[in-house]
Amino acid sequence: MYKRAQIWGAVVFMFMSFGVLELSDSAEIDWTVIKQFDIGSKPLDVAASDDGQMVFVLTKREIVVYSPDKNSIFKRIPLDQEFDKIEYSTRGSLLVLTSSTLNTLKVIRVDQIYPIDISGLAFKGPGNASVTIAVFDDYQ
Amino acid sequence: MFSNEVKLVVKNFPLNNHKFARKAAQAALAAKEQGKFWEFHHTLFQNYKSINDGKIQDIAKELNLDMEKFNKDMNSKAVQYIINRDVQDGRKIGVRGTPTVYINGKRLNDRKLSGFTEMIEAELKKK
Repeated sequence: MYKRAQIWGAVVFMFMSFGVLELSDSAEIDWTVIKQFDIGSKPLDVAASDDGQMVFVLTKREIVVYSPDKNSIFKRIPLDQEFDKIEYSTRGSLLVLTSSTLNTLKVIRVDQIYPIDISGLAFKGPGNASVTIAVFDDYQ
Repeated sequence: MFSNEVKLVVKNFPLNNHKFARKAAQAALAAKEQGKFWEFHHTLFQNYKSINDGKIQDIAKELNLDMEKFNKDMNSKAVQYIINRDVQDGRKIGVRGTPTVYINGKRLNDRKLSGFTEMIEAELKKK
């Protein structure tokens, strides 16, 4: 037991003494270009959704939406004005656009729509209801 | 409210740190095979603090289920498939905790009653 404590003590001491220095000295990065797109207009700002499933690139007249999962541009949201900044707010899935030249702020809610398989599950309400509420839940 | 326009479905997402959550999900789906899913579902929620194997059996007996069929269905491949599918579906779309609600496939962020009604109304307007 004493020997084990000694070994752990030595390991901890080594990390405290050299660990940070060694890591920063020898740290390297690796990269791979996944894809490059011509988005057709000058990118002005970029924001990403909190789950990382959507990346929003602001251009002069539209927001180009890139999906890392699909590795493609899957939507273009047209804009009626020119904005120069974009931020994503996790509360309510909101895109906040600002224009420093027009002194305007625009808020757009962006909802991703997921197909949810409900086959084999019990449901309450009419089978042909136009709205389906799916609750992911457990019983404890 | 919205009783003619809205359908409610429970997707199974038993959390690993809840010891009997998966068994409870299996039991509710087995009860469905005897037409008593919602009764089982409500009773499980009423007893969420004391769920264990014995409690699950007690609830099934209280609801007058055919116990042999119930226990067989609880462990059937079909029931396991549904739970595994639901868990995978949830993980794929970013479900991390329970309950997490989707309305017509869109995640509900504001879980107050007003949040539900606003989102439902917005969906109904599109129809």
